[in-house]
Amino acid sequence: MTFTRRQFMKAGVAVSAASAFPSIWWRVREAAATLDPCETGVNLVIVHVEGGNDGINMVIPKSDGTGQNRTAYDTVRLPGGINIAQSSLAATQIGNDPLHNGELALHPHMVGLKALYDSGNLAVMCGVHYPNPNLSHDVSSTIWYRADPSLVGPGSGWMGRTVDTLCSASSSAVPAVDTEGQLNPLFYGNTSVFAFDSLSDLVFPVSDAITNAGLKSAYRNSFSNIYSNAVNNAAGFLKSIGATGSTASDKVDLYGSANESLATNLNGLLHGSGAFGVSGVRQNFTLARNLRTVFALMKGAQPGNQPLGCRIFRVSIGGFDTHTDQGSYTNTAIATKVQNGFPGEYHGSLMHHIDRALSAFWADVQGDAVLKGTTVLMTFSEFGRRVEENGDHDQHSGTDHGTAAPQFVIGPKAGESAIATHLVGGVYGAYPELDTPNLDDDGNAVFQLDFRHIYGEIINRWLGLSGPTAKSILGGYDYLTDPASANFLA
Amino acid sequence: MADINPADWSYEKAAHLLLRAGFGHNGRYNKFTGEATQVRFFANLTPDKAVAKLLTMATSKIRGPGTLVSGDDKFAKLQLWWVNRMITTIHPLREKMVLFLHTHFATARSKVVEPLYMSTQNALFREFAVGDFRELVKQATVDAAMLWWLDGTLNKNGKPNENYARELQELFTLGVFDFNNQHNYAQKDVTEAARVLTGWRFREDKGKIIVEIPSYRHDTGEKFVYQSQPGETTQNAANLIHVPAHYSPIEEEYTVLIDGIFNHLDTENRPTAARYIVRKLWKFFAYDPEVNAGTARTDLSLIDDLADVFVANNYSLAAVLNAMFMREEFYADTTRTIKGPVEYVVGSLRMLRGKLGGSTRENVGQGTLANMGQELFNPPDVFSWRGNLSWITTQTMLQRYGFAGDLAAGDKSRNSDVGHNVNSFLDTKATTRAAVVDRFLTLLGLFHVDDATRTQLMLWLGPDDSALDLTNPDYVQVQVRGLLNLILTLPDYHVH
Repeated sequence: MTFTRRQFMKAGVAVSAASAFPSIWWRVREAAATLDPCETGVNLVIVHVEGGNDGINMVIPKSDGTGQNRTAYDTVRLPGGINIAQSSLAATQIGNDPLHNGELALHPHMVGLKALYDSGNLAVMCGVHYPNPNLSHDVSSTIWYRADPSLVGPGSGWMGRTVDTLCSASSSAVPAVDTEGQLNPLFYGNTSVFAFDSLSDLVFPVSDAITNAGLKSAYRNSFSNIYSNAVNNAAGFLKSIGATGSTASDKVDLYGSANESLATNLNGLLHGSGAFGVSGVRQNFTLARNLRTVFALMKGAQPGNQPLGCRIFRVSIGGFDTHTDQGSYTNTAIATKVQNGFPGEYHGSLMHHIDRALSAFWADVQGDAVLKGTTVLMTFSEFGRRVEENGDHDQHSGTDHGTAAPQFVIGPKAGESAIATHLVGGVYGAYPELDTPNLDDDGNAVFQLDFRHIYGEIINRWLGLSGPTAKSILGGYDYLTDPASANFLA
Repeated sequence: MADINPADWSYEKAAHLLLRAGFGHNGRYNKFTGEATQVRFFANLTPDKAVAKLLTMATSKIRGPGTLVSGDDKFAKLQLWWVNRMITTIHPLREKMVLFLHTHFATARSKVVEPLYMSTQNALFREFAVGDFRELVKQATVDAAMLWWLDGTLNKNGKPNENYARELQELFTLGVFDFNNQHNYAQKDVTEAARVLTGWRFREDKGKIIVEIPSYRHDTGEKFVYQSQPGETTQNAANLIHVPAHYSPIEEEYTVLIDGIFNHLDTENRPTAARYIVRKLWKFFAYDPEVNAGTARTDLSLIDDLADVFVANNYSLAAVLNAMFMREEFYADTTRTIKGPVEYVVGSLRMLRGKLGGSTRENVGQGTLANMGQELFNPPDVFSWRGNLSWITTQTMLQRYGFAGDLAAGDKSRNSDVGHNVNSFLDTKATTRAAVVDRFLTLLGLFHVDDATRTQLMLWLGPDDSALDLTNPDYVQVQVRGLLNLILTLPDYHVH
């Protein structure tokens, strides 16, 4: 397999070379202000819902239409178990199922997302998954990460390949950030992606033995001189390593100095006032805090702020593997297991968490003149859950691994977008049929929309790579016509 | 033949041999001479005896990783066991070959989710590390982890699955193209090979893996592999593998295929598999002829010399490795490879007799090494780790610098997860910064660092030689350990 390699890092690294005068122990570090072209452009936030979300209780059938979905739902999910009563769905009703025209509603706790739906900023993609579903967390996650249901293609991630294509001219650009310390496989590729649990983790590593600030600075000096020498005077591998190491050093400083100002902002706004402030949304919901960090990093990339260059992000929220004690909406018999959640509702509390976090994030984005037109958020989960609740249809019931679930895409609608394409809110795909004859051999819903359709539209219509390129990133999958009716970006 | 001239043998070349044919010397150090004693020992031998010594390995039973459990730490224990072997073994060439074979037959826990299977495959690689490569390919074909990984168990009579049949030829033996850019095999050859391989499966019985081939699952028809396919391949007539119908015994039919693959001649009438494998070995142990040699053809004649040795010795890995390590070109300084994460971490720990403990140790597989891009037992796909510059990104470099900082700063006490005893290597009587710097550079196998870099390293120790304060524990703790930190991050140190 031949392996093309990018050229050396371009000029723009403000590192003084050959500073061989050791009397200067201190040195003001100048961060690289020039960004690689791939580090400028629209933003994408990927929300990874980990564990397999029970989509059937997130986008809920409210009536049968020409199908059987509400009837089937009420047959296999009972009031003592995880059933969410039809009577509680009025306030969060959205559009109808494109397949059978049955009414659909978001989970009763998703009032913020309902408002986004009404304002035209939410696309609800129904029945999303892939053929021949695998029910293992690891295997199905890998399929979603690689956009490769057959698992015979390369081990790179779909977003890894996308940023490789976006950044083909740069060896050292960092266009993406993963808000977890270990890089998620969806980013696997040749382009650097910073991965950190907390922004303060991102520091240039210097031996702990060097505690004196002056000496730390001197160490950084020595490092920079050595690496600049490799860039300027060495060849081959040494030169390439010199270039990448120099960028690593400069980028980390850039994020670090951004962190100082961001930390002030973050702290101030974590306890701020308003709908999402004092009530403690960001304090109480980890996803909201992480999205706030993402918001701050995106702001950092704008003119007037320290340009950071990151514009593609992953945040995650876990806890969705609800095999037991999934809880319902009205069963308050058991105490909540979720912080700031609702008694008796495990999954419902997670729905609330997602709703508060995404709403707070979107409010932040809408409040920013630039970001409101340049930001799209998408969710994904490795699979959905079993149609029928397990156990004894009581408060201990939950759901086993399933297949197709709905996914959300939030973005600027017509007139709001800073680029030519915009989101068209609505319900897309088809809500899978939930009645027993239409389930697969495992009792799972049959998928209606291949997830690569969503990926393809994002790569092509939002991130701006050509149709053929997007198709190639997806291993040849022809997302645009599969089907065209599910196109949510126009 | 361009073998190294014994008159050119040196400490530096012995150090290079230990580094590339293993993970570096074992860290034992002579403070008076400023030399690693193991390197000096090998330098005092003639090159042929030095190479022969490396290839002489005890064959006593190697203790396995113990009981492996499924669960959250599934592979952490297995990964740690292997890393520990690489750090402590007295036969590093064997473990280096296991690493090569794991990279070559890339099988991953992302799909083969049971540690027992991956551990069994690893033991197979260890058994054949310097053994008969053709026999290894045969046994790897019916290895349970491989059957799982490349769907061998799904390949059955009437319902063929070509996955292994393809990768066997494309990746494990022949390659898609020969050196003349002609196809080595056609789609028809993949399907015919798949038919030969039908029927294999595995099961477990009381915790042991049983691999079997029930006859009803096997396609017993007649097969022809490597007939010329117009428009695709022009095959030497002697390449034909003809498996008659109802070949018996069924359990051995696959060996006919493998033997035939190793007899395959390319469009230059050269042994295809030998050329392909030797090229991979040379790329792993020395350099990539396409990347480093200005004229690829010159180096490809070197590949052919070595391929001849491989064939003449019935695909003995020991024989071809011996020939490789005797070549002048193996010691040429200008042509190198980038150290992968395992080589970087294990090599550093060996040469500094470093400590790996605490939570860093427990998590070395899925933490340190995974973050640098090389999780053992989990290559990204069957095409394996791409190597060279693919190891080097902004993020992975920061990970390497982090490890370097920890190893440099830490000591070997209970308080450190990672560390080394700097006093083992420090000559407190040194009077010049150059002496201190050069000793550490030599210790870590860096013989050709340029003057500008040496100057920077010396300046770190102080503005002039009077700044040296080697009997002062604080100076040693900060400046000398800091010097090691810098050396472990040098661009030169990431290359070998």
